[in-house]
This record gives sequence, C-alpha cells and structure tokens, in this order.
Amino acid sequence: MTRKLLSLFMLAVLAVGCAPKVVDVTAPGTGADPEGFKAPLHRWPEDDSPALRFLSVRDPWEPVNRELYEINATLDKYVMYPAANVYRAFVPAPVRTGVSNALNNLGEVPVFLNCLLQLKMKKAAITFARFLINSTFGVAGVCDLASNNPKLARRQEDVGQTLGVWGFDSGPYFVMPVLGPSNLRDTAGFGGDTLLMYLEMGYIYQTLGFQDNSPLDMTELIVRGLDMRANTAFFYHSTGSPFEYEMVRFIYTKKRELDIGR
Amino acid sequence: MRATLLLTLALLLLPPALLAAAEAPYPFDDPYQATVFGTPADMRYAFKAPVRPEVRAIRIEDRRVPQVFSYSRDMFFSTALQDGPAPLLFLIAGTGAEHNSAKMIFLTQVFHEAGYHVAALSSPTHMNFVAAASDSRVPGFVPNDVADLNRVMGWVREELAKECSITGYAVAGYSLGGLHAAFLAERDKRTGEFGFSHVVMINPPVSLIRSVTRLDSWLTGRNLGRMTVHERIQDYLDRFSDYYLNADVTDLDDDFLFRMIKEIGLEKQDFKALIGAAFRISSASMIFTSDVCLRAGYLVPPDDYPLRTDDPLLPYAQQAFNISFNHYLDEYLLPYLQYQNPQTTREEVVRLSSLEAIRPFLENEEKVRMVGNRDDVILDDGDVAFLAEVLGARARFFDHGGHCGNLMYPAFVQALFEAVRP
Repeated sequence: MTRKLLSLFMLAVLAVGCAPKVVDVTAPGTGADPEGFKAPLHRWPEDDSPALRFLSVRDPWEPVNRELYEINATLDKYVMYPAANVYRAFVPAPVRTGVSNALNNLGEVPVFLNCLLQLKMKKAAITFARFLINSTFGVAGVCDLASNNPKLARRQEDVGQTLGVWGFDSGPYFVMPVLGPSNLRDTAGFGGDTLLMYLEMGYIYQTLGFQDNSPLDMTELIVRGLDMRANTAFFYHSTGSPFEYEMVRFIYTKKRELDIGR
Repeated sequence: MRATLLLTLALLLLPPALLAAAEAPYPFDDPYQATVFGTPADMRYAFKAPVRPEVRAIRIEDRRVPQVFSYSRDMFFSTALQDGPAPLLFLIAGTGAEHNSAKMIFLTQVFHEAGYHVAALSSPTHMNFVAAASDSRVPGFVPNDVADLNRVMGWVREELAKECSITGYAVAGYSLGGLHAAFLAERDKRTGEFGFSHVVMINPPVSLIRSVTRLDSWLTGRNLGRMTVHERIQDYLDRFSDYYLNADVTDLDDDFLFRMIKEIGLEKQDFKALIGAAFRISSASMIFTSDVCLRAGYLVPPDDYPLRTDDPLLPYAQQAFNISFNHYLDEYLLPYLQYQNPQTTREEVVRLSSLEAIRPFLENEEKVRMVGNRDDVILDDGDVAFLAEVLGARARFFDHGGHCGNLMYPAFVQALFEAVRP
C-alpha cells in the first residue's frame, strides 16, 4: 500500500515537473573565457578585518559543510521542493492546515518534556494546556483551537535547547544532510527529539491496536517531510548572494543562541 | 416612516464610508520608513485571480561558469502567460534583485492582471545574471547592461512565441530596472527589434551614479557620527537580539519585524543606515561575482584559484562590503571599460548611465510613462524636477512612499494599470 502510494506520488512529482524548464541557446563569442583584464588595484582579504565580524562562526568542518550545503540545495531543488509543490497543488489548503496542526499537536509532547527538563514551568503549563484543548476539542489536534487565545500560542523547545540551557556548548557548526543548518549539540538534540517522537508514535499505534507499524512509519515520515517543506519559506540560493552559506550559518547560530537564552 | 428615512440615510452614507475605509491613506509619511517597511500586508492591492509565476531557465551553451557558482549555471527568469493572444511585457528587477523577489512577483501579477503575458528578468546586477547571462560579466555600465538585457529578451521572446500568441511588446521595471526599461526602449527605437507599445519606469533613478552615491553616503561618518559602519551594524544586532530575547513572540514574521523596528526606537539616520547597508550587501555580491568570473584579481588573489564549493568565502565578503559604488567605479568598472576601449572617460560612464543621456527620446515618446514618489529617497530635488519637466503629464508622482514603499498600495497599482492601458 505504502509502496503504491509512494510510486503514485513520484509519478505526480514527475508530471508536475521537477526543476525549471531549461532552454539552450547559443551566443557566439560569449562562450570564451573573459579573462584578460586585471584590476589595477586590489582589495585582497586581510587578517583581522573589522568588517562583518559578526558573521564569523566556529566552523572547523567548513569544507565538508559547504559541500553538504550544496548537496542539500540540489536535493531540495529536484526532490523536496517539487514534492512540496505537488503536495500544495493536490491537497487542499484546509487539509494541509489540518495535517500541520495534527503533527504540531503530536509534537507538543516532546516540547512539554523539554520545558520540564529546562524547568520552564509556565511554558510547560501552556504546552500541556494546548495539548489537552487541541487533542479533545480540536479533534485529535486537527484544529488548533488553543492558538485562538494569544496567551496559548505554540511554544517551541527541543532537546538541543535543553542541552544548551544546561550549559552544553553548541560545538562546531554542522550542516545536517537533507535537514540543513545545525551544530554538534543540536544534531545530538535532534536525535533525542526523534527518539521521543518515535516512542510517542509507537505508543499511539499500539493503543490504536496496530500490530505492525512499519508501513505507517514510512507514510508518517513522508507526510512529516512534505508538511515541513511546504511550511518552510526558505529556498536555496534565493538570497542572490554568493555569501549565502555565511548568512545562513550566522542566522541559524544567532537564533539558536537567543532561543536558548529566552 | 422615520425608521425608513434613517435607514435610507444610512444606506446613502454607507458607500462613501466604506470607500474611505478601503482608501486608508498610505501609512508612512517618512520616506525612509516607507522604504524599509513597504506596504503593510492588510493594505496591499488584492488581485482578482493572482497567478503563480512559473520559473524557467536559459542556458548559454559552452559558457564557462566558475565551479564555485555551479548553482548559478543557468539564467533563471519567470513567466506568467495569458490563455489567449496578448502583448508580452518584459519586467526588469531593481538593483541586485531576482526575477522572483517579492516585489517582482507582485509586479508580475499586476501586469498579468492588466492583460499582458509577463516575462520577469533579474537585474543585470544580480549574481545569477552576471554569472550566467552577461556578455562582459562586469555589471554597472548601463549601455552594456541594456545590451545584455536586450539579448536575453530576444531569447525569451523566441521561446515564449512557441507557447503563446504574442500580439505586441511592452517593457517595465522598478528602480534601476526602470532606468533600464527606458534605455531598452531608446535602443529599440534605433534597432526596431521589438517596437514597444508601452514603457513604464517605476521609481527609477535619474542618474545611477548619483543615486548610489546617496545610498553610499549613509554609511559614512556624515550619517553615522562617530561610530564606524561595523560598530553601527553590531549595535543594531545587539538591539534586535535584546528585543527578541524579551519579546513574547512565537513566529518571526513581517509583523514581528515591523513591531521590533518600531519599538526599538530607530531614528531617521538609522533607517538611512539600514537602507545603505542593504544596498551594500547586494553590491558586495555583485562585485565578488564579477571578480571571480573574470579572475581579475580585485578581491580574490590569483593564488586562491581555483575557487571551489568548499572554500570559505567570508574573507572576501568582508572586503567586498567595504567597497562603495564609487570605489567600484574607479577601481574596477572604469579600468575594465578602458581595457576594452582606452578612450573611455569617467565623465562619459557617468553620463551614459543617466536618463539625461536620452532626454530627447524621453521628451518626445508618448509611450514612456513614469510612476514614482516625490519623496523617493534615491532622488534629489533636481532629479524630481528633471522627471517632471521631461515627462510632463506622463510622470505620475505620489507625495509619499519613499523608494518603492507604496509599490503594493492600491492607488499606486491603479497608476500602473493606467500606464499600460492600451
């Protein structure tokens, strides 16, 4: 069943078209290398330049990270982004919102545990209240009724943040395959969150009486991936800057640092 | 009876009241704030049936693109086509902007709603255009950039003609793209390749060099006082971080950014510095891209080649950020143009990158229109006077909006519709 769904989905991706349509043209004379001109003056890199110093982030694995960033960009361009487009084109918006809400609702459990581990009792209470309200009145989380109350807006805590709160250093910057910007601590944290989610889902499947949940796991993974990509506004190389890697690295690192401080 | 009267009265009064609500004035009187904030989402023009532009690409065969820019091998552009026969409008992006930036998608939808097939192109100053499409790969000299655009437009026309019926041509652009649009039309008058029926400049500069010199001046001591630009940027970062740490916020959307900038208490000089810094970031990208494509040794020492995907680029970004446009002109662009043609002078480059160079054309061509703002921050009083004098009634000025701030505001969109009406 999952296989069938998967192949149907792949067909849909191919039908809608993966990457942009490319037209080949010839431009006589421009294929040649334009080298020859040398700037009379130069502004080569200087040690300890005060410019944009905030952009520097501890990144000893930079060469590998940069390669991974490019691999992710290519994967996204040909697989994830087109898949999310198909998802958006064929699944009506209310259904997508429902899926998003339901997944977020399942995610409240790890968030709640992380709030507790960080001793953030108010956040924990809000998250617990959200889970109760949305799981019952919100039909298993499909409707996010809790967010109607601005005081009960969704909070985000994960194991990476918990480790940060307990004094674990971020470690070197790391670009996770497929998922993108992270660091050593947050990658470990992601493992923790995945484990929590896995245990929670296992418990739910068991309660619902499923014996073998491997096809469900696969479907769940795909749905989660589609939901995540469809709700992420970022598109690789859309900054129009050759320094995008540096910008993304800075924004990720700064945001995590601040989120841990909040 | 009295109730009926009251009801009638209320109904009579209702439409103007409703209209007044729909026509709430553009909210920012300060041109710098307008430029930074744009049009708040709930005040934007609502399209009848918004299209989603389709992204396409052109690949010039055998073109050598440096490995470090392999993701920029093809030149991307986007299209929104009508179902039936229609004229094709080329839309040119502003400095450093891509074919599908927020402003470009919005304008694509505007001209599509006005009944045109739309082909939206990145600015010749955008890295993708420099790496994948430009003939010289040295952007910033308007006649060369316009020749590049013209060549790309020819390919686009050929491709689109296979898919839809094209009944005529028009060209429009915002900011630097507006200036390009006028130059494209002037060129076309001589070559007769397209025969544009409409030419629309949206918030154009009059002189490229004069406008960018203004932007650059906001990052100097005259605007920043005793702090260097780096200290100032660090200061903003600290203030933004501090605000975020203490704000009760869950999503970092436009609304949050707006509230943050409002509540942080930025002053006019800060808005100027932010606009200047945004411009500098895009010009740094452009300069680095050009240097790497040419291996001209300006930012990257010859020994650092070949530059590959896994090489750190921050040291070059740091250097590039320090280069003002005038430095770029004197240290790179002008020497390059003189390398091609030793007779080229600085005065000539400045003059040929200004609408003043095509003044007679602008004066005589009924089809050339401008929609802009009297308080545009890239124009000085002389520039506004020039546009008003040269274009007369064909220049439509709004009092407030700064540089493209009111671009999405309904009255501005109406002015655009009028400018391209057959």
